[in-house]
Amino acid sequence: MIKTADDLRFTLLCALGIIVFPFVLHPLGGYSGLATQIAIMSVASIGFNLLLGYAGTLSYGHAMFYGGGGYVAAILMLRFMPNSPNLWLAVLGATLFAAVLALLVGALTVRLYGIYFALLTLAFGQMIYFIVEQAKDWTNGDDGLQSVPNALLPIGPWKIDLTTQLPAVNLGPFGDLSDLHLWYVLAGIVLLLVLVFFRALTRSQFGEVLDAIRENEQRSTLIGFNASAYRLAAFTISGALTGLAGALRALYDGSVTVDAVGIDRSGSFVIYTVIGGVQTIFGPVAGTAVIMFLENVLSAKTPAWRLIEGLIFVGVIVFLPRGLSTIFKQREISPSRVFARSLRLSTEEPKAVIEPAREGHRAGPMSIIETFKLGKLFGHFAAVHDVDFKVDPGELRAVIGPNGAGKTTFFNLLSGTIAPSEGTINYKGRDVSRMSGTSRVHQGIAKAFQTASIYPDQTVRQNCRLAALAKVQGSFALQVFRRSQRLDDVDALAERAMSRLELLEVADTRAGDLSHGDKKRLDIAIALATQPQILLLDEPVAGMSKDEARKTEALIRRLSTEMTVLVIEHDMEMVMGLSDTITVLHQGTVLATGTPAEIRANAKVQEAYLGGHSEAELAHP
Amino acid sequence: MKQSLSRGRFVAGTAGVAALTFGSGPYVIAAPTKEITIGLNVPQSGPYAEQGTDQLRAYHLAIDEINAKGGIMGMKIKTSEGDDQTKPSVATENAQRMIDRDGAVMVTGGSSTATAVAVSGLCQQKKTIFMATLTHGDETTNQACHKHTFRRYNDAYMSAQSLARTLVTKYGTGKWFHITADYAWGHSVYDNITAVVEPKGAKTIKNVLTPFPGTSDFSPMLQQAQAAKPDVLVLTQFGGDMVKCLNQAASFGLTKSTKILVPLVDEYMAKGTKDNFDNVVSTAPWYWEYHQTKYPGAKRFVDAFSAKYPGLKPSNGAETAYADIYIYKMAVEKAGSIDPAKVIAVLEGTKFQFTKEQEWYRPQDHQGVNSCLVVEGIPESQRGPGGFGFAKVLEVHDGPAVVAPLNSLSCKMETA
Amino acid sequence: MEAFFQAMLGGLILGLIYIAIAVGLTIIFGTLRLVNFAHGAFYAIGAYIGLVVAQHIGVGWAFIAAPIGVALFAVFLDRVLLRSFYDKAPTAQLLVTFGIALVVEESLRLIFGATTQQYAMPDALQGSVTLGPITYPAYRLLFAAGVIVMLVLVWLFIERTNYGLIVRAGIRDRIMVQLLGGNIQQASSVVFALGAAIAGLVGAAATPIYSIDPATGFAFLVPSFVVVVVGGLGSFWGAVLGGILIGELQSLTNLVYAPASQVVIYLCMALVLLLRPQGLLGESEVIRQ
Repeated sequence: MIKTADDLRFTLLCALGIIVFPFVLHPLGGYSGLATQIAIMSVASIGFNLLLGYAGTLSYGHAMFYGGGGYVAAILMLRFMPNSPNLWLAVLGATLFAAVLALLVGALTVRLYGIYFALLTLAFGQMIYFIVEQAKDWTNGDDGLQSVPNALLPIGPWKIDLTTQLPAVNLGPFGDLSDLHLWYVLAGIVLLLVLVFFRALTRSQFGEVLDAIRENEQRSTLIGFNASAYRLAAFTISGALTGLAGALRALYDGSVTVDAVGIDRSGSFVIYTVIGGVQTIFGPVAGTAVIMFLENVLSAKTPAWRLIEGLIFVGVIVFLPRGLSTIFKQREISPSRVFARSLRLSTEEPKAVIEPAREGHRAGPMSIIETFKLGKLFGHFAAVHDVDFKVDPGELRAVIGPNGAGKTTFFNLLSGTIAPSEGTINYKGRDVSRMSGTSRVHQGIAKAFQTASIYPDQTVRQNCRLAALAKVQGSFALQVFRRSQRLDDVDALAERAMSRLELLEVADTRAGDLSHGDKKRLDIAIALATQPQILLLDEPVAGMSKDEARKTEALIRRLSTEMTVLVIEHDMEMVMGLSDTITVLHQGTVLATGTPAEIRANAKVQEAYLGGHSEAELAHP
Repeated sequence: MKQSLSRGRFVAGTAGVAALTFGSGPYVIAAPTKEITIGLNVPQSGPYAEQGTDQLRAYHLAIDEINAKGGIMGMKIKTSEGDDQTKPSVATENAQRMIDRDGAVMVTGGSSTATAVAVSGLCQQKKTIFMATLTHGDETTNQACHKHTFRRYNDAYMSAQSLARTLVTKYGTGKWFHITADYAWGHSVYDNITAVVEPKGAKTIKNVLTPFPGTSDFSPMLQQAQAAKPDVLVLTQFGGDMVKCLNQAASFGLTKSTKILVPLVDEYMAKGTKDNFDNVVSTAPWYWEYHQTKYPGAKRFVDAFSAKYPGLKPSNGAETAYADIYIYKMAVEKAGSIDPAKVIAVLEGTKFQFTKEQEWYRPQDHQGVNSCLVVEGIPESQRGPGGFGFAKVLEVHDGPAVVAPLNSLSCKMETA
Repeated sequence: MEAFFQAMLGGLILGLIYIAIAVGLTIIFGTLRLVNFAHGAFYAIGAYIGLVVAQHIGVGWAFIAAPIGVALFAVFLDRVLLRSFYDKAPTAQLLVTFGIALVVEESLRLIFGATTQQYAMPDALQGSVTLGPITYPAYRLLFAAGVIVMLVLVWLFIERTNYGLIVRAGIRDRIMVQLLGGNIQQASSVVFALGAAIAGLVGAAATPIYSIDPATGFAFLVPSFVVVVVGGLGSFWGAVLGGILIGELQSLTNLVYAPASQVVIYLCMALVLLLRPQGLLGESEVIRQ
């Protein structure tokens, strides 16, 4: 965890802060026990922040890990080692328990987002609360567990008495060194370790991917990261840290009660973390210290301290600190949804297939991707139906059709963003219809989006590196210490993708600041960095200037010499010039497939287009 | 919330407590001490808030009186106060703060056996005297007894014994239905009552537990009671919970159809339940109207209380709070020190009299031995100004006659 | 058998109380897409207004003053604070309304103290009514009847008024309403105030039964969320179905195995979120942010 001089500086700085903290607190009216409690609760807040700040999801049930850890530690001490209580074992057992609980609860909850995630964690939290309250044989119900042995910490052959005071050294206005007991030393060391671990984690490959998923989950999934697995890992680590804090607190207090698993406790983590500032390492520590200070010191001066706490909380949210803004951004509704919505407005009955795909191509051994009777229903509306489609390796295939013909849905089916309602997709002779989008990326199917899907807050290089990272390390890797900066093959892949799309000049520009055309090419570069065998391009030149479009067209032509390229495009000039073969989709199914010349001559296609919106496009080949 | 937060808090009391807590030699009062801090830890919110608030009044009365006469051995009493919200976790946090932050040499309070047991454990750890006030569950001086904890209030065993003698003649046996607060006190009361009445022929048909604290709707339990048609309905609820529960029972028509028994009552519960408390039988360790006519100490207390708080009479919780401050003062003065070990030694071996008959703490479990009253509610119209004269005393049972026999205890007292 | 019928009746009435709070929550979500953690605060404010008015003027006036007072407070809150959160992520709304709930709860604690308070229902309603084998408190039955009347009125509001049109359209397709250029701002304010007023009225009406302390609002909020989630966020009939389901589930579990009576409703909520996140009667919509 500590490898560079920078790491060492950070560690020493934290250590210094922890040593100085109680003596700064003293003249403000703090006392030794408070410093210990703040140190312990900070560990919980740091854990909570991993979820809220870094994974971007709000849990409203974290008390289940905190209280769960507390109860397990207390029960281990009281029941399982009544004669030779071992603090280490209790803390270890409790942390492990919290991690397992978080893994189980997380496995069920990480599929949901936003309010639904918050409500589901709330539901689990409440369930655990009432179970703890009713499992009286173990938890002593509403009375809680008392008199948990908490004094002795075995280290080697010695037993250290944690209630021992430090030697008396008068520090003037800052109190006396002997105000502190060894419990603070223990809590401080744990906090230091957690801070160092947490910093390493946020700078690791794991932290980098977590950032990416928070910033753009859709893109992250389609460069090959298993977003659910990452969120689950974050949830588990978060739960474990919170459980560790719960165990320490129960042991420090010598007691644990149902309030530790209660909803107010869950809310307190939200308050600590939000007030301190999410997405920072010290924010939650600061928030915990401020609120616990108010609670313990200001409470003696004014009964309004809780109101003050509430006002600070609302103030922080309203006058958004930078940290919160990325959580607050309304996420884009995914394109497939918008598409589905616009489709719902159309009420025409879908027509039967007019002309099947070219005879003889069916099930050819040579095809790289092939669909049979592929269909997708949105409610009762068949956005895509009965699509038989087949592409040979190395082919450059255009998919065209009027608006609402089902092109984007078709691409989403191929890329695995949505699951088909019927039919199958074979990729290199293997049925991939039920395979997730993430896995398909690793099989070699990559996609660039209609609206460029990039990481706006990161540089162009980082954008490409992320995709390369997914390729190199796979869909999930728990690399919480290794930093991706140290991976040469990732750099090489990213470099190549940027150079292919002529983005090297802007490599260190923030992606959000790029021109529209560059953003679209970056999106392709990201897809390319996953080293695909099939590249799906959804309207790659839409909205580009003529020059940019021509440049991009040339790039696509070059790419198509190395891989199979499927492209949706409205620009007919480009389509006719570029593609080997064209498939025309109309009202959700294949109208015709053929060479550009065949398609131009096809009467049905002409009719469809004349009846559609894109008359002009076809009229000027 | 009056205690100052000056540096001074570490000077006197804390220095002593710290020295004691961490066992670095014999306790010596470092310098002439002018102040000692006492922690007042009672509920000011939650179901027992009225009881807590009334105890606080009595604490202030006692402390003001003592300070006006020069304090305890010349030391003025300062207070550190906390609202324990009737939650064990909050009560422990408060007590921790009182001891660590404000250097309290004694913590007092209660109002719930759960909070009392929790605070008792902490005070034992911190070697600080805990004068438990309104805690009625046996646990406080039995299973969870501690060297530093003293409880003067009657326990559930005493109430049950007292009730049993009066009850069976009054209620007969028949079918008994219990609605019990699901925590230490409730369980203790239930165990004691069933142990006493069942051998005499009473049949317990059901015991429904209610979550504590936090039950605001007793209707599901009351409906079950209604359907079971018991002869006696025991509502083991206290404070605001008892008020809600009895009033809701009345709205289900249960007060008319069934005999109601509430194991422990005080003035505020009777006030809150109005005529619904008419004819309900209960117990109380002390009753201002009864004791003021028998003991001059009680009379002085009631008068001083009403003078300081016009229109109010002290509840039995207030009485025990008031007495506990005086008992502590007596013990410190007799010990000549605030060293807990010496104070404990005095408390374990001294008989005293303040607002009741002569009484004492048993050294084996630190339970106060004093009398228990069995009372019966009277209609609101007969209760006098403020509604404080809520009951008639049916019988008074002597402490030694009803207190749990020593050989039945599972208390394992520490040596220090 | 009698116990069973009693439990059924008890569950129905409990369900109606849940519905009464949940219906405001659900129409606010349906129309504004606002996740309102401050809804419990509206209940508490209504209860305290009721308390003050009942003690000083009369119980009848309490039922008029509470909804009006709370509606005014809601409009104020909407104008100064919440409006800027309408288009923010749900997590932001959840946090800001949670903050408002904190501030309201603490303000009430400072103004009214932390003790539990109650006001007496009129003497005429204190007794009980005997229906066949069952005896039930009169006030609770009246309360339940009042909830049903209120539900009918809310339903008429949604089905028969222009504002209701926007509520319905909003539930089905918010984007469509925006395209059609309905006066969403105004309608939103009206719906928000209405939802709040209902919570305030219920607070005032339920206080003679449950009594009130500053934390009661939040305590009622949590089961209301269960009801709304089970029925379907944003769905009127979902709240009705969810309320009755949860009320009965709780009441019957209490009869069969009391220790599980709380766990079971949260289990129910979790199952619905896992298997049918849009709720039993909710329309399928974007579950992802």
